[in-house]
Amino acid sequence: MNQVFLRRIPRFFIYKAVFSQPRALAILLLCTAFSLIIATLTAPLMIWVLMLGGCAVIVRIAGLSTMHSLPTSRTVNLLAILAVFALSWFGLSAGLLDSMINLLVVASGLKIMLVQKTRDFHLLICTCLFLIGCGFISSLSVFAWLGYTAILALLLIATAIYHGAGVSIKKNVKFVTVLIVQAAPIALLLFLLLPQLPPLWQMPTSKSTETGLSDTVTPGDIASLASSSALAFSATFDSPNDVPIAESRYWRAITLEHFDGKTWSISDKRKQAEQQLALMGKPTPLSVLAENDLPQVTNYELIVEPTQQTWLFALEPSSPNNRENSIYVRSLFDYTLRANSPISSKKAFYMRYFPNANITNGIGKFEAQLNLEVSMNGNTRARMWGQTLANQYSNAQDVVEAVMREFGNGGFRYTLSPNAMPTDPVDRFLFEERAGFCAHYAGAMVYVLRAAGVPARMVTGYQGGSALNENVLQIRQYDSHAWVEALINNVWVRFDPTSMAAPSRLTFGLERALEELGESRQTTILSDFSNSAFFAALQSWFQQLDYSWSKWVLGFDNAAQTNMFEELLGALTPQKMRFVFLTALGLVGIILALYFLPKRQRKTLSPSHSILLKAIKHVEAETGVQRGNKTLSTYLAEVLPLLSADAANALQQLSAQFELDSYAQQAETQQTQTNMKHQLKVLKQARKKKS
Amino acid sequence: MRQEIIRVQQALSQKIIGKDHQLKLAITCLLANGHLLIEDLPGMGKTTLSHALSQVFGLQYSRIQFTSDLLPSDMLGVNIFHSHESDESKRFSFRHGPIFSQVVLADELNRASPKTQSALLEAMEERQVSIDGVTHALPSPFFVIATQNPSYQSGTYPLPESQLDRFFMRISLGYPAWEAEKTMLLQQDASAPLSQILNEMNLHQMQSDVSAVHASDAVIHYILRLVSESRESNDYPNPLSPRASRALLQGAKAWAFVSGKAYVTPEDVQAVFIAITAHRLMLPSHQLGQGPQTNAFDGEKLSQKLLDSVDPLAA
Repeated sequence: MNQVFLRRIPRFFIYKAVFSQPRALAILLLCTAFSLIIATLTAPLMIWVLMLGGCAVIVRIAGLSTMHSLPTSRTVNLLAILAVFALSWFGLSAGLLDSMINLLVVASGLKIMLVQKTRDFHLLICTCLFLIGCGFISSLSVFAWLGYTAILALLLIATAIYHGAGVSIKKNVKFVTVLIVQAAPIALLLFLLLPQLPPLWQMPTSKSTETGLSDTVTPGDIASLASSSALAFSATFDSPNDVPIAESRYWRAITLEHFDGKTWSISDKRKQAEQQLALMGKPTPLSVLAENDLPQVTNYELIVEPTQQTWLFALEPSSPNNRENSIYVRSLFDYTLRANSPISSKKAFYMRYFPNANITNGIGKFEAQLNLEVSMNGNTRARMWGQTLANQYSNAQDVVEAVMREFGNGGFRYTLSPNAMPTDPVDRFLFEERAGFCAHYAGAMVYVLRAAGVPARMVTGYQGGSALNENVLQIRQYDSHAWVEALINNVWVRFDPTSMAAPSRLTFGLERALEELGESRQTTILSDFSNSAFFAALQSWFQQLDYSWSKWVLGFDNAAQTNMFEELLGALTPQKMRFVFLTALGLVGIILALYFLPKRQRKTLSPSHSILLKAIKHVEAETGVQRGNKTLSTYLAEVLPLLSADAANALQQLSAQFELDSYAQQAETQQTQTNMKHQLKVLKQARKKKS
Repeated sequence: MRQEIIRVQQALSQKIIGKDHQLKLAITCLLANGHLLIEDLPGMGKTTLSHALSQVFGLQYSRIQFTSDLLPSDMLGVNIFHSHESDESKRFSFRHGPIFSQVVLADELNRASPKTQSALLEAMEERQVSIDGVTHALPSPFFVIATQNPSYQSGTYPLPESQLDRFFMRISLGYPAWEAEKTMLLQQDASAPLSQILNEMNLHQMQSDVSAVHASDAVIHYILRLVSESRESNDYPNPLSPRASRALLQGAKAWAFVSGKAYVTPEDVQAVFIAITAHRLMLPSHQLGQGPQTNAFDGEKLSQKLLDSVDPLAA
């Protein structure tokens, strides 16, 4: 017992003694910041890189307490070579961006074990700042911002402690806090007033962060999305009256027109046709729609989470309002929207929704033909049923209604965990299982309709959305949905077979529908908590905060900036813009000056001193000999031979007078000042005469 | 007073030829009431200088040759028991060691053991000696001139930094110039003693005059800037202590006095700066490589660098 005690106490004191040294404490803080950063970077980092980083931090902290020796640089070099091999092996599958982030983390992890000189420490601080930048690639939420600001403050405090030997930690923390508070108004000004430049380089798309819908649907995919409660996008309407009712919130993303018997995908023929039409310059139906002044138009704004894809989601039919979009959005002939570059970070898009407009047949006969193609791969019973329907009813509308009736009355059940249907999926679903989710229903219905001679296609996107407040809707990944469009009288009409089996899916959303069916989507811990009122309130508060952040900070693009200027200054002219720009720079300059100026002013020169310094400046200009840090007499000895007799005499008298004034026990008088001023004049005149 | 200083300088320059600056520094050190460390190779005139100084100032002079087996008592003195006297007068009496002199030449200080070295340095600092509980005051003025062999030579115990700091100045005479050495060789009466120019009273008077030399705020700020630069910059492993800044001010005043001025200018500070700071700024000898160049000159380089990095005319 006693022995244990004895062994413990010295160890504790060693730690206490070690961390009371500023450098050790600074390195400890750096290690903490580094481990926090890699903890937030779990998505792009590989498991072994995370482990390497963690181990490096542990080795370093253990090494601080002098009881454990640090690895030699030879060991670290060996590790580095191994890590390079591992990185180049795994990096191929991780993509360029991710492997670069991995490389950076590996390098700084190895370096952390070797910090000795000031230079190493600075290098690591800079690398950590860069890693924080990498963290913002994957997340721009307000929480990421708060977290990284805290880590940044930690890094700054570490630097301050590292250099502030002898200054108490409290003082260092206060110093850094003052610095950050001083930087805040400058950052705010720059953010509000300076024009926002486009990024200098394009981020390579990263594979691991690909989220949301994909451009092929094999029934089963959407179910995996349904287990994710991540935010897909949020939509803001001008007024609560503009928000469409739940049943008509269909956010269209992709039309899938090709079926190979198993998987639905975007048709290649459609892609070719779109390209040709775009080359011919034919206007898309949406652009025609946007030009006609329709009485009922609703404007709304989407804030889209990064998808690394180009497609966008919009209420059908909506056209992009490209005058305000920072990324140009094209409309296609199937009424879907594509951004000109992948959405790699949270972005705002402005849309115009036409609630009463129809989705017309965009390319004429071609579309009808494309959507009658029936894959002859298996699924024979479904095809037979389609042909029977075609014989039974003469008109397309009746055929569709018959199929919908069958889904309603045929004992179909909605479930997110259906049995696997590897072969003849349509047949299995329609005639054996009779249980599935939206993709099964939509896929089966399109197949049957096509077999019955009715052009039909599958549309994927999101359906529904929960209200964050009265004019904002939030759409999450579990709102993803698939539905059917059938071409009736040259107009694409939307049918949702899922609604026949689970009517509450449309009106109250997925969770309610599943609840009624006695099933739940795979829940997370968070959603369990959301049952309690407190956590529900907290969650909604967080959502509200994140939404406001996205809207007011991330959404503050050039357009918003122009709006702000226009509201403040009226119509914008180039002169006004120049004025605003210069004022912004001026204000920032003044703030910086306020920080630096008082120090300058504190040092007041005595009159004779300032006269002497002026004289020396003259002499420096005339002779080209700089004084530097030489004393007066040394400098005089160098310069006097180079000056004219008058000037040399004046300078000598000046310096003698200065010496008496500042060093001897004698008060400076008005007399000596006028005398010195006179000598300065003589010096100037001598210079003029010479030139 | 001024005339006497000039005469002292002239007299000394007859013995040590062509080293006027070092002689002036030595006088400055004496007037500033500080101890002098001379570091040089053997045979450069260290002993001659100290002997000449004591002669012209009329001071009592003794010399201690330091060796590795010299004990503190050999230097300070011992209590001796008088056993052959009659009973009443049997007693201990203190026999003064060679340190009880006004000018003490501690020759080859770094050949002595650390114990003896620190005994001397303690006496230098306290200006008194305690033996068997009795304190004996050292004479006044008390001026130690220690000489040191360059530390790369064999059989030396280098002085630690803390003890180097107690020496007011360190100078190095160096080889004489061609002409100076020729004059020296042609000199007839090289060993003739110098005549006394000043007495003890004069010296005390001069020392108090030195303290009265005016140092303005501008000069004191210059000294403070120099000292704080050595503490703030990373280039100086041994920053200057407050003892060093006090020595700088005192040295500059003494230099101004020797130059015949009533006030101190930055030039005076610069003149004594290297002599006063070089041995304090120097890297500890165990951190330097072995060799004749590194140790002796590194401190001077650092001092010069420090001088160059501070503007004497800055406000």
